[in-house]
Amino acid sequence: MKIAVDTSLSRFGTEPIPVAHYCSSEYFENEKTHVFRRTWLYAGMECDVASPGDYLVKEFDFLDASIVIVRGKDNKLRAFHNVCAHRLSRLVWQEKGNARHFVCPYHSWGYNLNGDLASIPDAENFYDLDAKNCGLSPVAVDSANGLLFIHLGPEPEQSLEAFLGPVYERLHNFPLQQWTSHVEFTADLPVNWKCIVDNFQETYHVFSAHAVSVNERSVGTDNPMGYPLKFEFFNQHRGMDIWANPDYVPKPVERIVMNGGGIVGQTKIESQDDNDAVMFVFGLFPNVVLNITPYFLQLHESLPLAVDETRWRTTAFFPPAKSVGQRLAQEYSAVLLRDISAEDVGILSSLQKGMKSGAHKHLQFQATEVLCRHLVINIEQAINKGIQRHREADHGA
Amino acid sequence: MAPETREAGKLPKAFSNLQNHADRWALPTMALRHEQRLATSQALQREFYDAFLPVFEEAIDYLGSYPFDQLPEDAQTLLNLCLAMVDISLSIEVFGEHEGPHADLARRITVLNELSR
Repeated sequence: MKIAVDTSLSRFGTEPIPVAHYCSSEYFENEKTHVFRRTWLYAGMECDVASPGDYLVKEFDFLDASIVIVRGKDNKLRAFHNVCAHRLSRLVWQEKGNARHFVCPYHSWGYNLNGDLASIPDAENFYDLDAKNCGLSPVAVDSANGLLFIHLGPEPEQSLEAFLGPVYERLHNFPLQQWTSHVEFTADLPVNWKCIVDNFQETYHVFSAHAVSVNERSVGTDNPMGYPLKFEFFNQHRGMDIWANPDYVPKPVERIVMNGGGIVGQTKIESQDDNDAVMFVFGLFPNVVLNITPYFLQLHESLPLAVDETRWRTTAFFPPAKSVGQRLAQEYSAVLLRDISAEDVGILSSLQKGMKSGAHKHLQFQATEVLCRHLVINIEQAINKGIQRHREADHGA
Repeated sequence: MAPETREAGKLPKAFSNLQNHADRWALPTMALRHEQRLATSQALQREFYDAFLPVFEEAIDYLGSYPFDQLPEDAQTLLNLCLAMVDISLSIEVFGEHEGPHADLARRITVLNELSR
């Protein structure tokens, strides 16, 4: 059956997108203030803070924030700014670990895992120090099926569950917490953070940019352009069901290892619509894209470093291999993901130069790039709402 | 740059004719196997691929005769060789003449974490 594109997608707009959204420093400042500082942000994996005392540190340098997430003795997750209350030095220096308390290396102020200031060397020489108010500065933290999120705002407007909406439920359909075998890649790319998100939320580029690696899997006689089967929109988030070519003939080694791992050809994923999807894609506002397949979940995080510099980090979650066959099949998936990603790294690295060149004032999105357009629209709305809020606050003052 | 060859452990007797390939390819981590792929000419990669492919399924069956969490040392060496075969197959079966330019891009990706064993 021929796969067609939903003609109603034009409801999200048809206009070209101003290039300033991707390369203006002023626009980026607005994104920081009105988007990143006011929304739940992906911060890591809950399995890294599974036991009391486990902690991890997540850097948001572009927001001048370093956040420590810790599992308390009461098993509760807490997050704090990684800043000592004495002279505001960095408190925790290791990326992850287990601790009974945190001691600042500068003057050894000590904090318990609840963030309370618990010990001050030579305390008697401070002047009326209010130790109760010198605890670590807390930050909202929560998890969604093993994925950790923090919120830098003083008081999140909504819970993580409400923020993720239907995606929260959908995430729980997958046994992520049991998929504890992780493959992780990273690359710093000279490109705006949205370009990386966009790359993983449209299939239009696959027949071309991935012509060598995965074209044969992703296009076929029924679907020569590899259209997604369905697009979905959940408030600020978005998703699509990915089609794959049922006539794809695996390569010799691929056939052997995938058969051995119990993975034969393109196996469709349990879909709500019972269509022939092999992968769900979820774009989580603002900077995460999830690819969910029956065998692994891949999470792309696009962490801004500057308006034109981004740390792309991707983690693939697999169930722990129980057999040699499964282990080899997982290695095939992992190596393929790495090698496909390398193709993306090449093309993505060229975008910012083009955007800054002044050659064009706009970029173009077609119908199947609607998820990219949806992100742009939602960023724009969040910024406008934030500016409005600031104006009202100024008026009120 | 990966070492040209290293002292790999011995392969199980049934696969000892692949020992020279194991010395180059039976590396314990994905990062090392990838590094070796990037540092090795495609002609040499193909020598390994052509030599291993006819007995590749046999090797997987052999490994399957042990409980996965109790592989003897020589079987682990054979598993590492199989894992290298998976990596090399992308070069031989998928990228072909594009492997060179692709390798330059692949070097820009850092592996932070990989599947264990």
